[in-house]
Amino acid sequence: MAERSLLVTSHSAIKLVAHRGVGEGRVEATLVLACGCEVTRTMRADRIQEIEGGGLLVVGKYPCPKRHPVRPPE
Amino acid sequence: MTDAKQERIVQARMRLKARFEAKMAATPAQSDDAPMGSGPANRHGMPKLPPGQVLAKGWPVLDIGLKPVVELEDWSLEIAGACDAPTTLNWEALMALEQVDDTSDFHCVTTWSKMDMEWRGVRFLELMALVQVRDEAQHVLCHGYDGYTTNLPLVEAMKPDVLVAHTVYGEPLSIEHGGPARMITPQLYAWKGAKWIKKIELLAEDQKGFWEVRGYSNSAHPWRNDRYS
Repeated sequence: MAERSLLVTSHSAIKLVAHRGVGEGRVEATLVLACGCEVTRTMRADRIQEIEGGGLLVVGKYPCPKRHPVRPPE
Repeated sequence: MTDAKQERIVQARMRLKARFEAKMAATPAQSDDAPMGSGPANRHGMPKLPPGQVLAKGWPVLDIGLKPVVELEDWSLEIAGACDAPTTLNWEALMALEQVDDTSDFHCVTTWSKMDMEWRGVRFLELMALVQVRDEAQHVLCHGYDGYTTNLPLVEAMKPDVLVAHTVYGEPLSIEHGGPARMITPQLYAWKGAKWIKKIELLAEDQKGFWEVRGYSNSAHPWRNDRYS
């Protein structure tokens, strides 16, 4: 368990708060992670996907700055 | 490949099918009585869209930070562990095995799905027939050229839609999507299929992979919304 606590915890994003292009196929996005933390980071633009039926989805997993454990969002 | 070797593989394939067919039919993705999800029945009887998933218009590129470039002349796939004929395949040897075309759905744990993807590759079952997997092998640990690992039960890996795939939509698999070859696991979340696959280890005891030790489900059943450990 001690070994596990040293691992970076990476979470899915459950909400895209804002995003803007920063060039070279990348965007700066503010996300709410499944743990509840809000993070802002740059990423490949294709991490923000259009979904069938309209809307945007942020795909992938992102490190939690507070190392919140990975678990289902509340 | 000689006729004798081909015949040995065919016989081994038949024995493996006999060993695993009933167990495969009993896995959640084929047997759950009241599976979650929506839409008409898919190829294995589950609702087309698992719970919590949405349909992505594109095909996102996800990895753990590296996109290894492996030229075909340098590529190899080692298959080792609980088997009687461990082997390392080069590209020519992989292409000499029986190739299949298969259409399947792709479900990522980060909530996007892509339906009816057209793959070409070698069935995992065929690789197991080649290496004569032993009875004590119950688990698989796959390794990618990027250092990624992922584990799954052998019964899941033996399903006919689990491929070491090298072609998608008629084109060679791109580097960003795991080319030259990756594994796909349509009846589990997609992280169970290693991109840039390099090694398949057959194990008697389970050994967790990269995401499994980081809090994600060891079993990864999409129709149970089984994402976390």
